[in-house]
Amino acid sequence: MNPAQPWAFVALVLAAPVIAAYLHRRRRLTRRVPSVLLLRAIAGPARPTRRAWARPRHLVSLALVLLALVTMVLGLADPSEDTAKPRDWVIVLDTSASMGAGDGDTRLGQARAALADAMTAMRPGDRVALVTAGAQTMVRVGLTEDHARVAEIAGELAPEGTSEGMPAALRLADAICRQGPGGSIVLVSDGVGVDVPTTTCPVELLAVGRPGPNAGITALSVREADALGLSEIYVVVTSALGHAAEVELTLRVDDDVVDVLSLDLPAQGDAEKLHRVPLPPGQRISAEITHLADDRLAADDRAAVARHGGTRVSVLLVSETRLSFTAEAFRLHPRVDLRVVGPNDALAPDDRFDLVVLETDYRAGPLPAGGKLVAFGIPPARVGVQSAGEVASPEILRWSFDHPLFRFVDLQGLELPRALALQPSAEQSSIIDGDAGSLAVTGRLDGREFVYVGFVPHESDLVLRVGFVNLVANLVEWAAPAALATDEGREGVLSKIETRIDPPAQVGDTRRSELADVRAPELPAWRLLVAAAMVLLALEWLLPLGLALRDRLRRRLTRAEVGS
Amino acid sequence: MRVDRAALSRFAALRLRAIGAATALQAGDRRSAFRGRGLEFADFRPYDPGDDLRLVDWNVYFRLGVALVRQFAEERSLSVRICVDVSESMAFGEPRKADHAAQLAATFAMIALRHRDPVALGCFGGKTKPISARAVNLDGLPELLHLLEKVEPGGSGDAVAQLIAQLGERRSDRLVLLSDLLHDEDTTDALLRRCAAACPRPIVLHVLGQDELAPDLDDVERVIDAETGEEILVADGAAARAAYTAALTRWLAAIEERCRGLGIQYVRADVREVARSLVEDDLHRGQVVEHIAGGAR
Repeated sequence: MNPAQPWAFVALVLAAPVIAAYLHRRRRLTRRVPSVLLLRAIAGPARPTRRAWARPRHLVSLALVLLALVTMVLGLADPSEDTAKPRDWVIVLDTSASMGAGDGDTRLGQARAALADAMTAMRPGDRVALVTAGAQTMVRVGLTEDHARVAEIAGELAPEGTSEGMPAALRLADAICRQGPGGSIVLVSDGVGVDVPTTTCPVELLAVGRPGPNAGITALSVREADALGLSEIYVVVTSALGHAAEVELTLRVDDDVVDVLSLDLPAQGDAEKLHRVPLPPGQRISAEITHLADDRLAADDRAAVARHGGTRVSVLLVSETRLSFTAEAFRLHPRVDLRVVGPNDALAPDDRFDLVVLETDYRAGPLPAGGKLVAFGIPPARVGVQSAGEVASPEILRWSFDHPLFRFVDLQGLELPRALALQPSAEQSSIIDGDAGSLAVTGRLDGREFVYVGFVPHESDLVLRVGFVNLVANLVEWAAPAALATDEGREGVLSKIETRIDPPAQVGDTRRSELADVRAPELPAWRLLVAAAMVLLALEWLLPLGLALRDRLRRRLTRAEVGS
Repeated sequence: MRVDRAALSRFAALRLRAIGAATALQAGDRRSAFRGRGLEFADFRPYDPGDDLRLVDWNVYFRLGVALVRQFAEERSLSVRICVDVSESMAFGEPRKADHAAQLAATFAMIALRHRDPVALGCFGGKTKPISARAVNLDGLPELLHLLEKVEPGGSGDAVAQLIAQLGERRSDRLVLLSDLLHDEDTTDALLRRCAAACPRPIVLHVLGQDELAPDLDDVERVIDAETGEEILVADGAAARAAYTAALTRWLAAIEERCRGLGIQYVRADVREVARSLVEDDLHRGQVVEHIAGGAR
């Protein structure tokens, strides 16, 4: 802080005559009194009757006047005026969804107002850049002296996305900041989910927002539960309300309401719901929280995911009969393009299938390339699996419950007349274990995933169980081509969203920004100092009044003493 | 001097308390030592030629053959004398001691005249010759007030001689002396003794101002006596203030002691204390005045 008018300190020499005036004894007075009868008691030797130095008569008065002089000189010197070189400011504006929170004005609105004030307070020559971090991390405005432009661009932004891109944004800002000397990065954020990386330029924080209650959908996924149109919707609502609440969750397919769920939210934490519901055809599943009184952020009260868009799965079934249970199960699946061939039927060289199912060995040529392979009861050496021989009536003891293939599939008590006992290699893993050994293994063969099952389904009662249909549906899901990313995130899975909106006490390695106090120009320091000087002089002026009151009190006490 | 006439009406319910029998010639409503016409029988005396035959007690005459005349106790008024010090020293204070004394004198005069007690008002101690006025009822009050307002404090005459001239040879039933008593010890003693001789229980209202009770002597080196012109050098500071307070206390105690010894009722009258407060509190408590209905005010 350099004074703009250093010459003003010369005025401090005025303190000398002020002190001299106070040290100077006033001329002693001669007073006419009613009678000297009583005053003879204090008749004493004569004091110097002319001017002389004495102790300061009123130390308080002298101190006030000197203090007023110093503050006035400081005010004239104008210490608030910084004469340093122009600076570079790289503003990193958080535009994540949590910045949409607010009671009345949003945090982003507060940030815009603070930025507008800061831009107004910028001096000519100061350069400002604007980087945003939210749905998109990008440099909105490079270093420019057009401060109004920065405020204008900031005014066009909307809260969206998360703060995951903040480290990248700060690194971008750091790169811009390093272009000139003495630059600073100013992070304008609520601090929610903000991770501050190590930067060369110091990061200052201009914090916005206050803690508040909020609840929002943090997870939403949908998947088909079976091949008959039943879907499974998984939703998680995260609460930071501070009190328990009951909300309604409305589920929609496109714009049609399909169900309304009641959800009990805890004061703090997650409320999960797994809901199975038959869904009509549609491309988009959405969930919305309703009947929530205290909620600062509306953006996370709605979530939507894209539904599987009817990705077709081409299946080749090699069977000795065209009317197998397996073929019928695949035909039931609405998204399967099934082709059934015999073991000796030739295939075109360019035939491609997402899933090849072997109920019998294919002998007409090599298996079609690509896709996934499922083999039931064929010679295991065909897929590179070692067998310990055939066992009769094996009992299934365990199967991989978490494996996607066995979702809603129960193999308990399965009646198997015979099966091959398998010996999976190190690269293979058993997914069904019986009392005689492994009955099914998974692994990779020629770059494709395969599942080998040591028995044929239609030789057991599996095909009579509902689990068989589910197994076929699981095979279709397993073999389906990978879902494509959409604007609303990966199919069936909600993109990440910020629901906890309470600003943290401290954001990384940051310090309070100077721009947080930019309103100061409305009342510059020199004015404050001059006002303080005026107050001090007024106090000094009132001092005699105080002394008179003191004397009056003293006389009253004297009278009381005399009266007693 | 200045008198607040409007404030006088507040004391209409008070009257001066009589110490002994009233001696004024004027008829009134107070018991006196005189025998004559009245309502209360007092005594008999032998008939003298010329006595009113209506006063002869004929029952006694027929029974004893002696002519006796009935005598009644006469009811007279209190003769009140008010002496106000108007010397130069009374011109000090805020308000001036002279103004305060004049207001108190007017109050006493109004209280007395309202009950037909004749009042003689005189000023002494000033540069002018003694001034006095008399009034026997409320009709004469304006004249007294006019006198008070006309006189201004100043000068330093012979206070004792002037007071003797004011008092005359006659005794009064009540004497009120208003003064700051800033005289040397002999003069003060003479004044008090003269007062004690002029009245059975005189009242001395000691009028004091800030200049006596707590003088402001900051930056004061030399003081000049307003009456005598005497100059002395004075010290200031806490020690001097303490010494002054001690001297003041001794002086006041000596005066009060002397008054007590002479049978004088001593009342201190600070100029900062309004006349109403002094009359209704100190003087009422000191039985100088009483409520016409009796009891507490």
